[in-house]
Amino acid sequence: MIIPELDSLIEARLRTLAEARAGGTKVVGYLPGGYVPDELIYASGAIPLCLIHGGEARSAEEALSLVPNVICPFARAQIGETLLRENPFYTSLDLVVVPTTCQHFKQVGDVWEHQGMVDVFKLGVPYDCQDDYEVEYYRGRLSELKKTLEHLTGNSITDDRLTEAIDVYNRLRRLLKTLSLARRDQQPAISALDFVRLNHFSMYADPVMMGDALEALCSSTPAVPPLPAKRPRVMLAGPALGFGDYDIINLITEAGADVVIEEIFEGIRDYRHVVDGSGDPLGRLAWSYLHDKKPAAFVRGATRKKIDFVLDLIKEFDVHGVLWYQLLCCELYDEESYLFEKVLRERGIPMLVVESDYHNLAVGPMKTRLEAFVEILQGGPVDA
Amino acid sequence: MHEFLELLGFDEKERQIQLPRISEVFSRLGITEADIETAKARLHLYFDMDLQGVRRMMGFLLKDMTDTVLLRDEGARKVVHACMAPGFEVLGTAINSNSQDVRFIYPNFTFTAVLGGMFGRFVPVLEEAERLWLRGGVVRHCGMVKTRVGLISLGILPRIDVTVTTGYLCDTSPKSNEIMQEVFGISAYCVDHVQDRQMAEYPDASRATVLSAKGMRRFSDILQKETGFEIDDDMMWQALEARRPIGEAMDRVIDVMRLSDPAPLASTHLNALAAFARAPYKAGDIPAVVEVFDTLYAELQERVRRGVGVLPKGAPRILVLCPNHHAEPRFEHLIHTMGLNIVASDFNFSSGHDRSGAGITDPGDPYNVICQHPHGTPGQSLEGRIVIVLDVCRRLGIDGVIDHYHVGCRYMAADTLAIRDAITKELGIPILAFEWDNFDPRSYDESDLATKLEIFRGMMQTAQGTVKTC
Repeated sequence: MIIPELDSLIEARLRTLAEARAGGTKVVGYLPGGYVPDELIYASGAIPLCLIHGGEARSAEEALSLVPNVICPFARAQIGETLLRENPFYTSLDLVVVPTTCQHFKQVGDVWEHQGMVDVFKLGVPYDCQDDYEVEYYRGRLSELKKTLEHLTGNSITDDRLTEAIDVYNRLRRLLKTLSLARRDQQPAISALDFVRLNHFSMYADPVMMGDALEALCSSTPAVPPLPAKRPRVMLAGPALGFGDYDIINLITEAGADVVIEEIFEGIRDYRHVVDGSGDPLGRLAWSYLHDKKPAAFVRGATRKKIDFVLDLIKEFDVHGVLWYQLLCCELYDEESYLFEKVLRERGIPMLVVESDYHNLAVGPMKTRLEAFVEILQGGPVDA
Repeated sequence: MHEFLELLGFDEKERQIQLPRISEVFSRLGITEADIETAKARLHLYFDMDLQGVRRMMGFLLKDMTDTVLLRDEGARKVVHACMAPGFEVLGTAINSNSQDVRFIYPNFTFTAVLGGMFGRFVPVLEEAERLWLRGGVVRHCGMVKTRVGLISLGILPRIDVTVTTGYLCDTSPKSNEIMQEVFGISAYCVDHVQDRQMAEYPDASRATVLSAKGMRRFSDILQKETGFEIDDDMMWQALEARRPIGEAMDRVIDVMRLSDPAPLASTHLNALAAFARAPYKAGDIPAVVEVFDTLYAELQERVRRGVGVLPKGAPRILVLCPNHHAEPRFEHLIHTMGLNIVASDFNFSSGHDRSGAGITDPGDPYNVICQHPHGTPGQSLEGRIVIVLDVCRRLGIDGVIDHYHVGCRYMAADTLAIRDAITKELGIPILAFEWDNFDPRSYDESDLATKLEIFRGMMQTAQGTVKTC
């Protein structure tokens, strides 16, 4: 554990949230995946919270009173958390922004709207960005969101405030990227679990304070011994990794390998892109968030680009195998896994597909599969 | 074979022309004499083969399948394939009517109706897709997309140059696009809109229709590059106009089925009617299609005039959510034998803005006129769908609702519990909800379904009095 005070930081964040709300500050939640610009919420004076809890069967099951189990457990967990009303991050919301990035999230937005649990803004994200009209559509929806936020908070989102917010989040992304790139070392100074937890915390934390903490971390010598050498290096790929959904990382670590890079859609802040350029800040946000970054699985034509990107990461991070962690009933990743497995096999890179519904991941058969995978990465079973 | 083709309404002259073609197709698909006997038995059991309109409709479907399989043999240079693409049948009619050698096919509904409904031989198509990337099991991929992939992978369809799908309700088919491109080397495209309507906007869908129209126009431009054939707006207008009588003729048939008591035709036909109307006919072939609908309409009107029905008068009126099964009429047949009358599917309805023209934002753009599907029930958000379903139940005097939700479609399946609650609270009529796949005959479990339907019927009896059985 590189930052032992993370838990206490979370508690402190909850206290400041309560105080801020009592003082009239609005809290705006949004679903993850990297298509809702925090910058816009932050510039309105509201507190942005990325709703990222997952990994617990209880919240996913709670949602079964409203949606069937063909909705993925992460999406169900978002509904479940609002139903359970126990998680302060989910009970403090004045508005939720739901990006239409997959059918599962679309349904979360519909159910929240139908139940009247919380005010919902559905942020239409075009599935393609070949033409100007698609970026223009997204920009139009961001413009509507801007108006909604201004109405909610009573604050005007000026270009200056938005530019300032872009700078704040660019800094956050750059620092997370720096930390991530440090894991290219053969003996990385930060474990996957720590990196993922930092990433998750960045979705709840005040971005300036988080930036300060990350800056301090990046410039300090790690207080913990580096990871042992000669262990297989693994990429963790998949649709979602919720706050608390850490069994898979713990299990692969216990099995004898280290996750050194993640290619996760929902649950890892997209730290690889920055909002560049000058001029109209809303237009810059639209271009950057929709067009100028690695496309997610739901984007049309993304598969080949994702494969190339994963191959680049494998090379850059000296990855020996890919652990494909998909959630039950996620049709996009299930389909993709076929092609990724085929392409990686042709290159001699083993890939293991693991599926979770947030039930009993840490049981015998899964441990056995992961141990066998690590054995293969180490050169095959001893008795093979 | 002669007897089979006669049963399917082919006259002597047509039989002479079609026999060698259909024989060739049966040979390629491995359809044997025994299969033909099975098909005859299924046709007599599930369909009203006393009606000339039904016989000819089934014959048309068989011919459409034959035309599709033999496209390359009969001169097609480029084949464009569509799946899960509402409105693209108009584009298909535009191309098929104006190009000599580029052919547009929209085969899923025809093949499920013929290979599935008629011959009961559809499972191997689905299994082929499951062998590839649409695996079976708990992930529950959509049978429609499996149909698409299976028909191509098995080589049942002619070699395809370009395939198009939409992501209006779906992530599975667009993702399969990309994998097909990699695995089969087919140029694959997707047309989209965005599902971000808030309930407060209902029934406005202009953002979705405009985006969809731009995407469809872009695809037309792509086709020009891919096939060398230019599709201009005049062709699209002509295709729209040419196809209009098909919709009107089908509406007449559907209306007489929906509004007559006793019901003049069993609900097993509803899927075949929709498949028959959907094919991307050449403009010159459309009058014959309309004539088949009109023949059927006249036959049904005659039954109504004589007070003849296929169910007793007063049979409970059922609305189904999601369409009838595309590849297997056994479920509708089971319902029918239990004395229940499926009068419609929620997919047949809309907010009304498509039909009235109120949803058209640019009357000068044929693509905008075509892309009105976001007004339909399946294109709505959950709240919009509930509004339409409740309205339909009230207008049609529905006694009970069956939601056999197509589990492969997350968009549809996820609405189930909220719709059930709304129907129970607002209308107080029974609703039976269960999971199935609209394209997979393996969804049919007679003992399980019969038990559910008995209970459902009992609930309606409690609510309304005795239900008569056939």
